[in-house]
Amino acid sequence: MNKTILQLVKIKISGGISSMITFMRGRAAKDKSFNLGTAFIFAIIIIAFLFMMVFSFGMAMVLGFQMYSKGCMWLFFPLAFIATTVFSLVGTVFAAQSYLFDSKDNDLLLSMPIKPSYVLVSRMMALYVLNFLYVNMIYLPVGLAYAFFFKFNAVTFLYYFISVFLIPLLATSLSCVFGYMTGKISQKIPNKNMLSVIFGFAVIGLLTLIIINFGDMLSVLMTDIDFLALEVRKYCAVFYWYGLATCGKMTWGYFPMTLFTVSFTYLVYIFLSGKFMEIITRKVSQKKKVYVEKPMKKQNLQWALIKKEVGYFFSIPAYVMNAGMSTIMSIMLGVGILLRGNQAVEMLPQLFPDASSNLIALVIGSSLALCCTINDVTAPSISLEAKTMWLLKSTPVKPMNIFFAKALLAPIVSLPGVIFTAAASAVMLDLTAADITFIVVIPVLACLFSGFLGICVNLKIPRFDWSTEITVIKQSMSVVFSLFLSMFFTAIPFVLAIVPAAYLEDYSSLWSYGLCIIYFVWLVALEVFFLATDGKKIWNSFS
Amino acid sequence: MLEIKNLTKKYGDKTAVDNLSLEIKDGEIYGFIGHNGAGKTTTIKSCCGLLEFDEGEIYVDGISVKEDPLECKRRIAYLPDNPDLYDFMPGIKYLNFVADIYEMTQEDRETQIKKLADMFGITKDLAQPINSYSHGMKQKLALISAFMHKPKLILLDEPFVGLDPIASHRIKEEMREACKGGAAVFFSTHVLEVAEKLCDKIAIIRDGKLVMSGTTEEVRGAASLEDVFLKLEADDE
Repeated sequence: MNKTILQLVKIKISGGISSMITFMRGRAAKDKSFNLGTAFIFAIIIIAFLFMMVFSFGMAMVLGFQMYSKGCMWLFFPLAFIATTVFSLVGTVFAAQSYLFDSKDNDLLLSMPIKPSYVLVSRMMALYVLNFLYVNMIYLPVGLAYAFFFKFNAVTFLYYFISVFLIPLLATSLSCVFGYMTGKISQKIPNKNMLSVIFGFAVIGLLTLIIINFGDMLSVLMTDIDFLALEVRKYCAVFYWYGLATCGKMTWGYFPMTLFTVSFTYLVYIFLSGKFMEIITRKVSQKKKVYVEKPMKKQNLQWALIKKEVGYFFSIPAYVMNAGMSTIMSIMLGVGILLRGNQAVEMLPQLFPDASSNLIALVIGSSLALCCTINDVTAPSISLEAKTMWLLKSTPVKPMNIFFAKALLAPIVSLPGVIFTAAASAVMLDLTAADITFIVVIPVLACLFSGFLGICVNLKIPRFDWSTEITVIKQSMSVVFSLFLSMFFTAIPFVLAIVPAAYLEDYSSLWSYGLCIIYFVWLVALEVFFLATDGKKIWNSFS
Repeated sequence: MLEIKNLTKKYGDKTAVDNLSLEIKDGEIYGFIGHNGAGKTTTIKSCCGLLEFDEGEIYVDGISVKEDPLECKRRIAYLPDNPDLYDFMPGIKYLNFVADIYEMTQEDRETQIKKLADMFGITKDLAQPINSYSHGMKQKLALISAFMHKPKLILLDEPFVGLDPIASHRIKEEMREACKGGAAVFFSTHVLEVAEKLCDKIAIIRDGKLVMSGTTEEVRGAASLEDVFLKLEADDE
C-alpha cells in the first residue's frame, strides 16, 4: 500500500491512542506516572469491554440453541452480522463527520504534495480500525460460542474469519454515508446546537427504550425465531445465502454479500472522493447580524459570572446532553408520578406495612436527588477555562466568585426537572407542606453538593491540553470521578433515612428529612471550606 | 506606577527571569524587547498576577501584587499575545461582561465602547458571535476590553501581532492618549521600529536577565535600535 496513506493512518491512529492515554491519566500526556486514578479508569474500561463480550457470548448461546432446535441454524451468522454492524454504526456514526472532514490538519495536508484521495482513504482506514474494534467486541465471542457448541469446519471457519474483516468494512461505509449526510444537513440548519441536542436526546431515548424493553424483545425473538428466519429468507436473499454459506451448505452463497460490501464501499469512496475537496474547504455563510446600539445593562459581578457559565453551557451541545440527562430523568420521574403516582402510593403499604405515611416523599426526594447527581456540569468546568484562564486571572475577580458561579450552574440546570416533579407530586399525591419542601430542598442541596464536588475534583485533576471542548466534557477523569463520588455520597443518607421510615413503627419522617438536610449542608460546607483554602491556592497556581 | 524589584521566576530548574528590576513611571510608554524565550511574557504575566513568582516584589501603584493582587488587578489591563476570548458570546456581550467585572457605570461603558469600537472600526460587528471574528477582529475586541475601563497600567504582550496598519496606528494613538491621562504602558514587541518611535523608555532582556534599559535615546545611542539589539545578541553568541 502507498507509503503516504500508511503514514497518514498511523498519525490518525496514534493521535487517537494518545488522546485515550491522556484521558486515562487525566492530565497532560507528558506526565508518564501511572497512578490509582489511571488504574481505576483502566479497570472500568476493561470491565465494560469484558461485560460486552460475555453478554454477546451469552446471547449467541441462547439464540444459537433456539435456532438449532427450530432448524434455522443458518440464521446464526447473518443475525450476528446485522447486530454487529448496527452496534458498530451506533459507536462510530457520531465520530464519522469529524473523523473524515473536520480534522484540524486539513489545511496542513492540503498544502503538501499529497493527493486529497489519499487523505480520504487514510481517514476511512482509521475509521475502519475503530469499527473493527467495535465489531469484534461482539463478533469474536459470537465465534467462540459457535466454536464451542456448534463446531466450525474448514469452510465455515474461513468464512467466519473473512467476516471479521468484512463487517467492519460495511459499518465503515455506512458511517461515512451518515457522516456526509450529517454534515450536509447541519449546513442548512441555522440553530445547529439545538438540533444536535434534540437529535442526541432522541437517540438516547431510543436506546433507553430498547434497553427497557430488551427482555420482551428477546422473548419475542426466541419464540418467533423460525418466523424471522422465514421472513429473512423471503425478503433478504443475500443474507439467506450468506447464512447457508457460513453453515457450509452453499459455498458460493458467501460471494453476493462480499461483492455487495466491497462494491458499496468502493462506491462510497468514489462518491466521497469527488466531494472531498468541496466538503473540507467549504465555508458556511452565516447571516450577518448588524449591531444596533441599545442601552447596556449593568450587572452585579457574581451574576455576570453566572450568566457567562450558563451561556457557555448552552453553546456546547455535548455539554447540554451530558448534564441535561439529569433534567430529562427528573422530568420522566414527574411524568411517572402523574401517570402512576396513585398506584405507587397504594403499593407501598403492601410492601412495607409498618412504613411511615411520608415514605413516598422520602422515596421521591431521594430519587430526584440521585437524578441530580448525574448532572456532572461542573466536573469539566475548570478544565474548560484553559484557553481563557488569562481573562479571569488578570481581572479583579476573586476565585470564590468563580467557584460559586460554576457550582450554581448545577442547580440551575437541574431545577426545571425538580420543580416539575415536585409540582406533579403535590398535585397527584397526598403530601404535607414538609414533604413538598423536602422534595424540593433535598435535590437542590444534592445538586449544590455535586456542583461543588465537580469543581473540587476538577481543581485536583484538571486537563488543560484539550483541542476541542468535547475532549474535556466526555473524556476527562474529573468527570468520571465526580460522577461516582457524588452518586456514592448521595446514596448514603437516603439508605439511612428510608430504611427506618420503611420498617420502624411510629417513626416520624421528619427525622429523616432533618438528617438528610444536615448531611448535605455539612458536605457542602466542607467543600466550600476546601475551595476557600486549598482550592484558591490551586487556582492561583494555574497560569 | 509599576515597580519590579529583583523578580525571579523559575520553571523547574530553568530560570526564566533572573533578578530583574524595572521601574515604569506614570505617563511612560515602556517597551520590552528580547529574543523568543527571553522572559518577556513571564515578566508581564507576573506583573498582572497571572503567574506566581519565586523571589522579588512587584508593586502596582504602590500596592504589592503578592499581598493584594485584587487591588492591583483593578488598576491593570492585560492583553496576551494571542488572546482567546469567550467565543460563544457576541462581541457586545463580551465587552459588557468585562465592564461588569470592572464595575463600570452604565454611562461609562456605553461611551467608552462606542468610542473605541468606532475607532477600531468594529461597531457593526459587535452583535456577531466572537467565533465568527477573524484573528485581527478578536485582537481589536480584546484591545477595546483592555482600554475601556481606563486602567492606570496597561500591560500588553505583542499587541501589534495580527493588526492591520490602521488598527496599529490607532492603538499607538490610544496608548499615547492613555499616557497623557497619567496611565503607564508596558509592552513587549519584536517590531523594533515601532518600539523606537513609540516608546519613552526601552528595556532589553536576554535569557531572563535585564541587559539594558533607559530612555530610547540612551539605549540606541547613535545607532538604530535594531543595530543595538543585533549587537547584543551577537555578543552573546
